[in-house]
Amino acid sequence: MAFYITRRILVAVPTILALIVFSFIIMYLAPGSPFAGERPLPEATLANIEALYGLNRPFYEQVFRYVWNIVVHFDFGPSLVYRDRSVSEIIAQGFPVTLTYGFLSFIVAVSVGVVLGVVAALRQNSWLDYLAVGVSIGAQVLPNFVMAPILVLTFTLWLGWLPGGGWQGGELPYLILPVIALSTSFMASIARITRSSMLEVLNADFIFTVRAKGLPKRRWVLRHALKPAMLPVISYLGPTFVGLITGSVVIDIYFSTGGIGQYFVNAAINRDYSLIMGITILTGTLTVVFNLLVDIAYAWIDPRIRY
Amino acid sequence: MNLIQRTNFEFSARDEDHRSLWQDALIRFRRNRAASASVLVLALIAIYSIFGPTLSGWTTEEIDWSVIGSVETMGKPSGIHYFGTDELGRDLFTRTAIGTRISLIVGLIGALIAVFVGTLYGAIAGYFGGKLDNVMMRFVDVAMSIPYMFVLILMLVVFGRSIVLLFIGIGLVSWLDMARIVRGQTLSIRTREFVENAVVSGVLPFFIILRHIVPNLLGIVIVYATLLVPNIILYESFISFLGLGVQEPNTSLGALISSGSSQMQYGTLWQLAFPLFFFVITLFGFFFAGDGMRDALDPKDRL
Amino acid sequence: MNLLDIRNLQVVFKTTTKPVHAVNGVSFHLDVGEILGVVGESGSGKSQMTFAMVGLHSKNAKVSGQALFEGVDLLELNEGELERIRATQIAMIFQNPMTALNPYLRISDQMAEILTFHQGMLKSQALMHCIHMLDVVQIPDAKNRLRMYPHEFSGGMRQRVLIAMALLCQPRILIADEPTTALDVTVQAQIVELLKNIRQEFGTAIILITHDLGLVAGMTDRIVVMYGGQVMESGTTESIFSSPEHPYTTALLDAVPRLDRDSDSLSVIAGDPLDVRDRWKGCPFEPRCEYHLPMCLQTRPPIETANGRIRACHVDRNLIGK
Repeated sequence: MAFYITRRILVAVPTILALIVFSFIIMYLAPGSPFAGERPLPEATLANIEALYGLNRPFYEQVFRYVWNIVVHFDFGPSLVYRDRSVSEIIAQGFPVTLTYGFLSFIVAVSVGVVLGVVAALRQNSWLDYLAVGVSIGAQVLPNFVMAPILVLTFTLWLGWLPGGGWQGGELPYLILPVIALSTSFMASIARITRSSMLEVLNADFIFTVRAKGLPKRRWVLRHALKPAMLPVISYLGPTFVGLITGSVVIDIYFSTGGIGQYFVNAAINRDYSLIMGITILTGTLTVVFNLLVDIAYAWIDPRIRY
Repeated sequence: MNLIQRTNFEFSARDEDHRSLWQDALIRFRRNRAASASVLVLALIAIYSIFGPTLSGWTTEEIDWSVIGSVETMGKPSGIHYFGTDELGRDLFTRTAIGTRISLIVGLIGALIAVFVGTLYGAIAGYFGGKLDNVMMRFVDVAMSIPYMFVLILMLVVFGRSIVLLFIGIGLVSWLDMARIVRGQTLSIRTREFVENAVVSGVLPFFIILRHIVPNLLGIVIVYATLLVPNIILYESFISFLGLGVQEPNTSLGALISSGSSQMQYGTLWQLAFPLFFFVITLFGFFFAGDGMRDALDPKDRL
Repeated sequence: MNLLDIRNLQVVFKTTTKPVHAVNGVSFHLDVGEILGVVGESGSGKSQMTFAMVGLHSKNAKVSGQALFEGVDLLELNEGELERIRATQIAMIFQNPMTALNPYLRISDQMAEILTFHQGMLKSQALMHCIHMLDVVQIPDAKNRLRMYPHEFSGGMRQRVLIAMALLCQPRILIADEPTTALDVTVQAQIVELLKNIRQEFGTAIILITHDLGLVAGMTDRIVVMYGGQVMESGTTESIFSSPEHPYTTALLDAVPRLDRDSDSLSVIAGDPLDVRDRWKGCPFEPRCEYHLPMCLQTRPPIETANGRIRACHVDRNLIGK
């Protein structure tokens, strides 16, 4: 197990470094200077700024310095648009917001999805099963950017029950719609995956053995079937995480939460390279780390791949 | 895996024995009502997206000055504007048709690029195996653990937002799954006799892959390509929803949904409803058609 | 009183088309400490019959008749009572040991849970008991192997684990459903020896379900021959082998390769195994039977009992095998 984890970490670290270098190269290759706005700056001013940001140094030196600053100081450099703030400061401000509802959405998607899937599998062909299947098929075509307007239309504009935007330090009413909008499609996918893998496991020979041993249903479902049925779900957690992170951009914008996604899109529109790179690298690193955890969880459940 | 005798006896129809794989698949597909209906719906959507602008008599950019200022009342769906107008007085029937068209094109071209790259990559890795396979699949693993949407947006920002880059970019981030599936299939095809015959008779690997491996991958590639189209439409809509994708005066379903949802508090719900409707049924159409094809071509591997 | 008395057992599956009669009025009995062979080709309903006895039939099956275990009709019991019977009185082992164990749990957990659940033992006490049982089924180094996962065992070893697991609560009956089919020949012999020893040591009655006549010849006391969900013939092993009285039995015996006969002509039973969907008014073996009479198509053969033997055939017993 220790060997397995070590090997995974040895893959994860270069992946992160590669991501940093890759982003930097894309930016380096970018045509034109980020400071080439609508009004051309005087030559001397431009040179000054470039020197300030280190853009006049040789390529390898820039790469090295960039990577070094990120890895050692968690410093992504100054924002090119918000001139008085560093990328790290912006991340520190926006990220906790995104993390809060992102984490909640993750919990909701996984717990509701798994429960729905298991119940549907255990009561195959009952109305509950059909409901679960129906919901999970329907939610496939309801990604966050479709859910968000529908939810706001229903619960804010028509019913007036919940605020359709804002954050207020993460008070519950402000969390509900973003979390539902973000988690629904993933909840549905997880429910579908859980249902089909649960059905497969329930048909497995070893479940029959457990039944022949005279153990009651509650016990063979919880103790014997649930764990293996979770394996495909665990594999899907990686893509779920990526999807939630990506979707949070829409949520941040649509609900004006002040989260990191809003900065990301603004940075994209204003060509704030260092901010956009900072956020890409941060989310990339989180994804790689999360996938590492998923791999470990997988190995923990399935004894056959530990070695 | 099944030693405990199953009690749901499955009966095979004997009269299907002598038909070819593809004929069989077609028959199975036709029998699947949801899938057949989906194909019909998709065809209707395609017709609408091609002829919609002609039917309405309005162009995308044309502004109906008579509705400006009172879009909530004047811009409603009517005999003049079948789907109403947007907040700038532009005909929504035309714009939804154009948006659907762009989304479909992005989906199809993106899927084509992904299929092309993924099939070649996967077939090469699977065919040669060994170290090369290891390195190539390791790269896929690594690439898969990167939030591609951010990288795509980064690329769009750096190289400028253009629809061509959008096509290529989405295609290039979507081939990874395809490569994995194709590699797995290739590994099993490689051991079959006709491939070994070709190897023994000295055919170059390039031609073996092209003539013997790829044709045998066709079924699975078609299935996953069909399922890839809606996903790519989703990506594109996502990016356009953020305002980073297709640019005015062009539009896509994502952009239309975005502007529709930003206007909905003013009571112009049709602006959200029509693009959303086409978005949802297009995706449903592709998902069901893809599922139907999977069942038809690969009946063992049902989810 | 017999340990187990099966009377007119029927298992009918509801399917989307017509009902499938997998077991069609089977009767037999089992004595204390006896090894009974149930022989028949696949689809003859032998497994479904035993599953139905202990309530393990699938949801779309309808079971009728009687299955008296020590005078109690198992078919009348509720799920909780059946679970108790399965855990403590009637244990089962299956054909494929490779898939019959849960790959995600340690052997110790899979074994001990029966004892902790049904006998209220403490975990430590249960584990001691498990080690003892693994010793009984001759698994070396039982103490350490108990902590392992199924994939660390070979097929034969897994079958031993499954046998040990089945014996934990000292059941009165062990149902062994094709226990050696998936194993290597040498391992098969070891498992057969083991089953015989277990009968000796614990007095467990064994129902051995198999299609392998060689296997029953070596270990059973009595045999029930089944075809198409019905009993064709039954009697002591010796009598069945020396003087089969049913055309199906003779055909089965002829299909076994033997060294003492000219092996050029290994015979096969003509025709396809019966499709259980078709319910016959007459004898299920009629289409493949070389002795068949016109009446075989019309009426089901009556069950004759004579000299401790049972047979169901219209053909005169003296004509068969001659």
